[in-house]
Amino acid sequence: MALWKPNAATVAGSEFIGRRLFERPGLKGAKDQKRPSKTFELYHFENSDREVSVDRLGQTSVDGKVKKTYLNARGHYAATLMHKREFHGWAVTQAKIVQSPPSSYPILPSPIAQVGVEPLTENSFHAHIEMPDRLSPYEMAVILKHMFEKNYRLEPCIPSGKTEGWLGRARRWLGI
Amino acid sequence: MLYPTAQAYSDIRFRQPATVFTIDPAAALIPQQVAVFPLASDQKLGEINGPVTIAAKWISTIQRRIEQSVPDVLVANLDDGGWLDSDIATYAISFFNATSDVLPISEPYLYTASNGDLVAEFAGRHGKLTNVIGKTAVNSFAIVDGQIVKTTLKFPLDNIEEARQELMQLTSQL
Repeated sequence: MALWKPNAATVAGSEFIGRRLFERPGLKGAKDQKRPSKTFELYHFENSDREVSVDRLGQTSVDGKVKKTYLNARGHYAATLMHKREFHGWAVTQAKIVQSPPSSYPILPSPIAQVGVEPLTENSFHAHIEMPDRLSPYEMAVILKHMFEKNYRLEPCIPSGKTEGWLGRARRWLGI
Repeated sequence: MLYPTAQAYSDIRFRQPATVFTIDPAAALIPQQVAVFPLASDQKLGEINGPVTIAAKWISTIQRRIEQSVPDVLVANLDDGGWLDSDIATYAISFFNATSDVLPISEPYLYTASNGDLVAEFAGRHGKLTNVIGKTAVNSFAIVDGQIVKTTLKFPLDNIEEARQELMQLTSQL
């Protein structure tokens, strides 16, 4: 079965979107504190510009095939080259939770084209949440954190060693 | 009838004490400890004008965690991450000391934001209070009925009472 091709014009409310989670060391002097269960942290939702990047994980649920054959490798690649931190997975929510009132933040498809020869720089499942001008990056991060924690779901990554077997690589090479 | 005469009055004399008591100054001054953050309990009862603030139970734990997160620049490997800027740590401790009694009862969860600001998250009954402590201000956020409520307190906290009132309003909504 072919990989789901997301709509290039709109992100449907039924779609599942995920914000990538990268490891970050906790405070040195606070090793004795326990992280509250089913929570994310503010930096998971901080963005340097006014567009908060997300991955489109599936049409009506997290699509295992999209995750396994496409997005997982890209998460690990970003972790190694851009963030210099380990990739853990995604904070997941349904698009309509972000798009619906009272917040009503638009989610726009924004596929990323390949840079140079590295195929993992390309991401046709990329989208972004538009940050309104009235909000500061911290405010936006607090709001998104709240939304993603409301129906907490963490979609763990597949460890990098197991990301793609020869079959996956062959499929990617063949474009199927 | 006898009346005292001027002569009789002039006979009254005040004696000089045989021994003169003097108080010797201390040989050396006793070094005084400077309390950086005086507690309400340091005040004498007669000096207290109004209600006394009772610091939150978690204050000493949080203070320790913050202090221990400031690196010793000679020893620490700063590339490790997880360290806190000393200025931010100082501001955070003074902020918590001034306001802990109007913040939620539960112990805050501490971590840093992407730029190194300190984040302190409190869980209330109906929501969360997120405080982001930076070098110039404390931003406090709460989400009430899906809408974000924000308060900014700039450093130095000149008007503590006003700052406490603002936080109290925010906390009461949680």
